[in-house]
Amino acid sequence: MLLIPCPHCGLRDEGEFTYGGPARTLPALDQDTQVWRDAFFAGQKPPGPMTELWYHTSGCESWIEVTRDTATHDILNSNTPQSKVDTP
Amino acid sequence: MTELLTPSRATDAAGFLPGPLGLRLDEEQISVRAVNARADRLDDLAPLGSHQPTPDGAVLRLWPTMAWAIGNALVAEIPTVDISHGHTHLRLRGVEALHFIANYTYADPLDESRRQTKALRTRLNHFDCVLWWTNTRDVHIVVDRSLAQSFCNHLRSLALRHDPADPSKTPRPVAPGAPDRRG
Amino acid sequence: MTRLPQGGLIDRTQTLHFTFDGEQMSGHPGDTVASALLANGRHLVARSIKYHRPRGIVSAGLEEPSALLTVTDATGSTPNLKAPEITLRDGLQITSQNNWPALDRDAGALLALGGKTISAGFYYKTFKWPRDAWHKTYSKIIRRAAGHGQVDPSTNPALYDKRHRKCDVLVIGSGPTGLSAAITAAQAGATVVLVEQDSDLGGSLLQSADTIDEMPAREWAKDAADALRTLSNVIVMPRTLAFGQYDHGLVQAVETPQSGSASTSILWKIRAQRVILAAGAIERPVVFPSNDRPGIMLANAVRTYIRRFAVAPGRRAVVAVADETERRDTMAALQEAGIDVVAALQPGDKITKTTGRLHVSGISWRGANGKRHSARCDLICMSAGWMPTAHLFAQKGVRLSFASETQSLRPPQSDGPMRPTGGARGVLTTADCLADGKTTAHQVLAELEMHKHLNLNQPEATPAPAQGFQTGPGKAFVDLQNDVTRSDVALAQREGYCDIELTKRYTTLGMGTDQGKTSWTNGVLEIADITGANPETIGHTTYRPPYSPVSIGALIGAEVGNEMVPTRRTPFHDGFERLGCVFQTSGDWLYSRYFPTAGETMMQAIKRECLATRNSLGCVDMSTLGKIDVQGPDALEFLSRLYCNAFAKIQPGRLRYALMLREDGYVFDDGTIARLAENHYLVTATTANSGSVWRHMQKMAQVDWPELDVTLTSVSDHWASLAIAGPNARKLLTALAPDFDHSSEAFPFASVREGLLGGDLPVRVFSVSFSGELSFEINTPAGYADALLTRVMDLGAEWDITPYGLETLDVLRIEKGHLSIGTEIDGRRTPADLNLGGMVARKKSFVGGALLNRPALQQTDREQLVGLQPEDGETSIPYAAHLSQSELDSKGQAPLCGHLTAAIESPILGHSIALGFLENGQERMGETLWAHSPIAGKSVRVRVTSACAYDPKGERLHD
Repeated sequence: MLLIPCPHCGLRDEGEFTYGGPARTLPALDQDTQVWRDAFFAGQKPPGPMTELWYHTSGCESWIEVTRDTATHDILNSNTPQSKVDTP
Repeated sequence: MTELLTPSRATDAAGFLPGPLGLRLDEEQISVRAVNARADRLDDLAPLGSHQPTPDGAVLRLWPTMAWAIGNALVAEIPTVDISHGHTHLRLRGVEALHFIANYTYADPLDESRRQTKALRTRLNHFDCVLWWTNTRDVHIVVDRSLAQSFCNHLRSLALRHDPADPSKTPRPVAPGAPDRRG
Repeated sequence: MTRLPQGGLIDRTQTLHFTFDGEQMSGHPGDTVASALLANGRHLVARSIKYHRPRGIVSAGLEEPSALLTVTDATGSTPNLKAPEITLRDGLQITSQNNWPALDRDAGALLALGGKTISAGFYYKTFKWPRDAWHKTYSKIIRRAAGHGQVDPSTNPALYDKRHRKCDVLVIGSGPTGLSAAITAAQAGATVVLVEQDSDLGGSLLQSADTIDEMPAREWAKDAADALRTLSNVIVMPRTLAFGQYDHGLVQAVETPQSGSASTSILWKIRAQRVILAAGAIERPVVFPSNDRPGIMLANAVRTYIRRFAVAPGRRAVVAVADETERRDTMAALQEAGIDVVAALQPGDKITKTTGRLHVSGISWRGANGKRHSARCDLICMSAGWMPTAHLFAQKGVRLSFASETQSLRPPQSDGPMRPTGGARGVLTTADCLADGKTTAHQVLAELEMHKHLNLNQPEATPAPAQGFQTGPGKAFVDLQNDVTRSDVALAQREGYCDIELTKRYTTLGMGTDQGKTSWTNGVLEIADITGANPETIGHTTYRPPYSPVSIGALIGAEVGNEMVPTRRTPFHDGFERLGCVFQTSGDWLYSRYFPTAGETMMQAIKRECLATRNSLGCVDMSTLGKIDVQGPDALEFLSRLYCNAFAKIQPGRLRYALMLREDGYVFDDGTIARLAENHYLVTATTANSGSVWRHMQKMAQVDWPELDVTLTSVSDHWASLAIAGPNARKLLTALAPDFDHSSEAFPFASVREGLLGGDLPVRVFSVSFSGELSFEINTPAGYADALLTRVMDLGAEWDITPYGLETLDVLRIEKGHLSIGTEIDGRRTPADLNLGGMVARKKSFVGGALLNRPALQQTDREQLVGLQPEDGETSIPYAAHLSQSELDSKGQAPLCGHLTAAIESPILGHSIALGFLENGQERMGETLWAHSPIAGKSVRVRVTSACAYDPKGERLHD
């Protein structure tokens, strides 16, 4: 069980969170299929630091961004999420 | 809010839990409105993580962009959504009330910082719950209404697993200089 | 009796009675089962797993490889417990395992005579054919002959619990290292938890002859423990085994409270900022021919039984201890107990054999000069050195490295949460352990900024004895628990199973309940000896929790029976109970299933409920739907991006059916969007997806589109929802006396109204239908659910209102071809697959829109939702059937073209109907196919129809 630093609630147990996958930079909704396909499916996930979304289900019910080293589970950073949608 | 009818109870919690700890669990009616606004506006009402009594109720701020207006707490100029019936308010009372709960919560209510704020939303075994307390012997617990009966049954079941000597036999760690652990 | 007349940490004023294989025995509080058995003169307590050789008690701790016993008490029996780990209690029934007919006359021991044939890999090589015989014959015989105790299948009435604890510093182990570390950390003001697996604190100090601060070590330990117990920032947890290390300073430990406690065991999840692993070290046995006889014990265990338990484990002892200091200490302990030391072997001596049938009776060896010696004895105290107990540290994946100076696997320096200290890193003397505990504690306190940094010297690991014992040829056991001999290890190397992981699996070295605690280093040294490899290159297998077996009950805690998972009840629960409802668990919910009248079967009830609803009036609980209140100036834009259908023109007071896609273009969920006011919407999500839809919407609002001014509030539990459905639904609504105009013109299908019923019951009424009948979902705040139900039942009696449950709900929706999550909306369907392609908006951008246009999702021959009816109009269609164009062939196979998602008997249509996915289904209306169900053992000819079997034009929705 990881200890995840929630920017709103402080250090909390992983059991309070729901995993939301890697934080992605998604295209705007009106971008075409090819752009979306590249953004959505083509990401590389090498072991190492990765920024992820976690939802603090049992706490502040907010989405947060956590940078976690996927090889060691070291938590390097956590933030309130920044918008990753390309504004058209 | 004027109620024309009396809402029915969500649980059978009224009285002592079994087991030697002498805890009692009671359901009490509560009025809760969700106050949704930008974080900076809510900061004026109550800082994040706090339970602030007001003359007519209290403001509970455990979410960055939401607060709960409890009772008749006034929340000027922010639209609210009534969620009273969606939540069940339970009170757990007894000498070991908060220490008993702390055995099962994922976040520790006896953490130094929470000894000041006296409020927290966390998970108790499989149940998400909102907790606040004025002292460790009187803990307010709010759970989803649909889970409330199941939650009460669960607390009963947990209370059976304690011994009369628990947990005073093994004092909880406190920071040096902190007030008495039962404070 | 071999109990010494005085001494030991036992309470002689009380006597505890227990039985061993039916024989009455006694002991005292403070005894373990092992010490009590020895005190009663019992050495032979077990038979070995493969050869059924007589085995005794080897150790005094969790490393015990041989003395595995079954313990029976009031709560049932537990097999495979290690004799030294069981605290003696009054009334325990202890039984030996793996023998027939009796421990001292075991027929299985005949195997030992032909022992050479059961070498490593014997089973793999022997029981190869005939193919079926393995599971039919061989495995049954082998399992009976070889193995451990029997599992008690009866329900365990004991209570277990799981609890959390937090601290700054967790100290694991209460020997000199642990006590010194705990005191140092406590004095600096850190919150400290000290866990000790044993019932007494002190670890090795309990049997040490050393003095600390001019006090006997044992008294010092007692003083230290008492001092720690009085500190308010320290929790001392005896009888608590830390068995696993997990991420970020989480250690799991299992406490066995004193007998008579409410819980049989308590699993503790202890989260610490730093963990000081002071678990000590395990003594390494000497491998020599016939080294497994009862009476051959680790030297430290002998000292423990004498000094701590006041038991003399023999009368004539031979000492084979490599380290000189320890040899002298052992001899001193033997003399304290009045045991004759008949011989003390010197390092370099070659042990050639031991004798004895059920107990060791003699030993032979050659001196360094080649001279033969032998001695009669009933006790051999052996030690080749010590092995650090760094298991918990290694569980996180950090490799231990073999150090030649200590001849053992040692943990590397670490800056993680856990710090092996003292014996756990190879520091052995009491003084060094005290110093090491203090040093490590200061180090972590400095890291936690609770103490200034001190430059204390860390003691060096204690070197291994310069020379060990030589051994002669013969059956020498490396791993006593698994009967792995030196020749088995050699065989594995010869046959190519050289990698340490392969050696383990081929020989079973290091497997079992002790996981090679005493055998692993000896195994590595054997391999090095055979292959000439450097032991440092051999490595070790993976360390995993638990360090020692933990009962399943402790892992489960209170989560048994009704407490396994939380159960959600709807606000109508009590009211439905009064109506005689049969409930069913469905996901989190305890949902109404059907409402039988007296003597009615479920099928009869469903039929009655369906027909009543279709012909007059029914009511059903819809409270489990997710309900989300959406407000704000950008609420419409937010919802428009979220759902794939167009509803910008929706007016206040109206609602739309809506479909939500995932980002990858597949259908995620369906529900309704009701516009309550200009900037105020209420959307519903399906019961199963209410949590994930809520998270999804939060994600869009918080992460992807923070620029939109919209607020979301979950009101799922706030509203109770009761749907009244049937041709008489509007008449009942009238009778309920709403304070709004509810005529069919003013309140048509797909509308929402707010107001009061009967002047006092606040409601929101939605004219929506899942049943296909004229229907109103009446929502009221959950606390008024009972009032609503009472009025609906009372006033509905005029139209014979019939409450219905999940079963009828399902029948009615299948008749209409309405979708259900998990069956039709199964995460692999596009809107077009569900015949909802027409809903997809062309003129707006929405989540999933771009990826929905991928070619594979737009192909026209995808599986599509269709209805199916029996070709003969009467045969029942089996559920879970698969669709094929052909009959099953002689092997029971057929090429498939689809599958069923639902099949029911339709009371209103009078025959069976089904829904299913069929390749290119929309183009195949009227085709006849086979529905094969191997489970039902049935194949039925079915005709492809529209998914909506009843009232396809939807005329019944309007009145």
